[in-house]
Amino acid sequence: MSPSDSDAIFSALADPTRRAILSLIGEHEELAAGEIAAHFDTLGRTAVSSHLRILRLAGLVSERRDGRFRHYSVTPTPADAVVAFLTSVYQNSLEQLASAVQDASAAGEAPSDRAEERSA
Amino acid sequence: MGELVLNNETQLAVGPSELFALFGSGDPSLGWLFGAEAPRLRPGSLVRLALPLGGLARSPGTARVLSYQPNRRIDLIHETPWAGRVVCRFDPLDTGGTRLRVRITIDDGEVARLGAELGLLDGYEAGLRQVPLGLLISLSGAAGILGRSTVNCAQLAVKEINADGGVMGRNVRLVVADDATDPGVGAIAMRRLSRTPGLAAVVGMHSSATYAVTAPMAVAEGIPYLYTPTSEPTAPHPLLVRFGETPLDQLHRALPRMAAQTGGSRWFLAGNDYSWPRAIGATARAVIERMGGHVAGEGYLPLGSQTFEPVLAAIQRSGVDHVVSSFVGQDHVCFQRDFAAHGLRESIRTFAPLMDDAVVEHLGESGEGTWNALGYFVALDTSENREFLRRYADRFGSCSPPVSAAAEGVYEAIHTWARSCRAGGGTDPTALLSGLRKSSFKGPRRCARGGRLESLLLGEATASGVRVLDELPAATQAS
Repeated sequence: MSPSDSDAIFSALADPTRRAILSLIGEHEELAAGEIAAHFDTLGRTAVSSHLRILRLAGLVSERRDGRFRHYSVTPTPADAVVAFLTSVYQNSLEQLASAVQDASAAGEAPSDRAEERSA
Repeated sequence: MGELVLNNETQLAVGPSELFALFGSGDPSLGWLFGAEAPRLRPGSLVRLALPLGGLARSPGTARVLSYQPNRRIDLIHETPWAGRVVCRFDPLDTGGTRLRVRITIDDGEVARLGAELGLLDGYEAGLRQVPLGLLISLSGAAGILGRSTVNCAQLAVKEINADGGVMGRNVRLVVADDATDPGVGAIAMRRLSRTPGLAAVVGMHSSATYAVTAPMAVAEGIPYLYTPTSEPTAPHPLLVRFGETPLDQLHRALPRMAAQTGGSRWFLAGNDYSWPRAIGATARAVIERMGGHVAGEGYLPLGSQTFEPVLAAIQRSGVDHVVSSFVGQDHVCFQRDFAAHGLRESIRTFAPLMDDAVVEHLGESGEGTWNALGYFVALDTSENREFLRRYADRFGSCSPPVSAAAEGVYEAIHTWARSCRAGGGTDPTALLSGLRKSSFKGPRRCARGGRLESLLLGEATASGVRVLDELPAATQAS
């Protein structure tokens, strides 16, 4: 799995609504977009479609078109996705740390100033 | 059991001691791991996390310091929203910088649970000759930060039951599902649990908003549902067995006691906006009016609120002597901290029906003086409780999350379930329900047959835990 796949999976799963949608689809062989939207009374059809598109681009669900209906199912190759998701969650944190440290040294500020502030 | 190991490595332009000092500052720009909130770095101390898993908002989580060597190594136990181990190593580089290596270990069972919850893995395979027992709890979302000790207590109960020969000669297997503090996710989790082959019952420790959705599902599927948290009464059904404190249990003696101590009569009712906090509000109003007090204002905010400003301002304006605060989980922690930061703690006493030992750990000094009445606090001084706490520490070590009333309630409910199955002669609903009427479990709390609570403890938060002030009768026991 390439790093860009991992990023897409992380972005897809970092949203609680998308996790819930994925979980719901996983409970069925296949679900139509309308059936998915019916489960979430606070979400409109357009919002559901956009969540489904992100899940599909991350390779987590596949789409089957049948006339004007779209049906979704969970893509088989799953174990990797959970691992990629967890990897990205931690990696994301360290990347942010690295860029914060870099920004601080570029600004000529010792990052530890911040740590001293907290104990003050 | 196997485990998933993830290794991360990055090189940073600051020395190990500077980098080490950054850990735990609570500054989110340092990333969720190093930017965690860890005011004290010592073995067993709590680390509060803000993970990037809540869409636009941050999602709360918890970890705990297992050990550390200054400027060399930090070893953490990740507790929620999933369990794992995180070891950070700091190696000096010739350039004056640091090579930071982070090793994450997550056991296969936890990966399977996460996979199953995402709909990706079939994590709940049937074990031969085992009795699956569902545990529906919050491990993520607002209430998730308090979830790990509940899983621990459930595992402890199951281990003790199995060591004692299991139930009807079969070992019990715990199947854990997370409702993410959300009724919609709770419904999906409940459906998944109910499809587990041979599922004997579900033990529920989650909000009553989830219960309103999942209880009818359990009834429709014929699955006994043992609901353990403090909660408002709902329509009874033989399959729905309730263990928790009711609002009247918690408030009927404690609020008059608080008013007698302060000499004040004005109250503000605040909480999250769903059925349980509303029920607390209605019951509190009745109790307050009956004792001649006055409700000067009410304020409710949605679960997962980021700011409490409107309610705090209303409290400040109202000139009350007391607040009944029924916020939940992370909201409870943030509200109480903001309340203290506004200087309201000095003049206003708080009664918080969800304040327990786990919440107090998150609150620290900002919770001091808050009262609550629950069936259990860690400080309960009985031989049963000392024995229970010793077994918990033996099983999970000294760096484990503190037992909460919620967690201990699940421990008792699972033991009561096992006793009842044995007394009734089976794990099917009929046997369980007949067994419940004739068996009891003598655990730390004061329960009658079937787990019905007989008395509550009045507790006060201190910076280091909950102090027990008195024992009060449950409402149903009071004359």
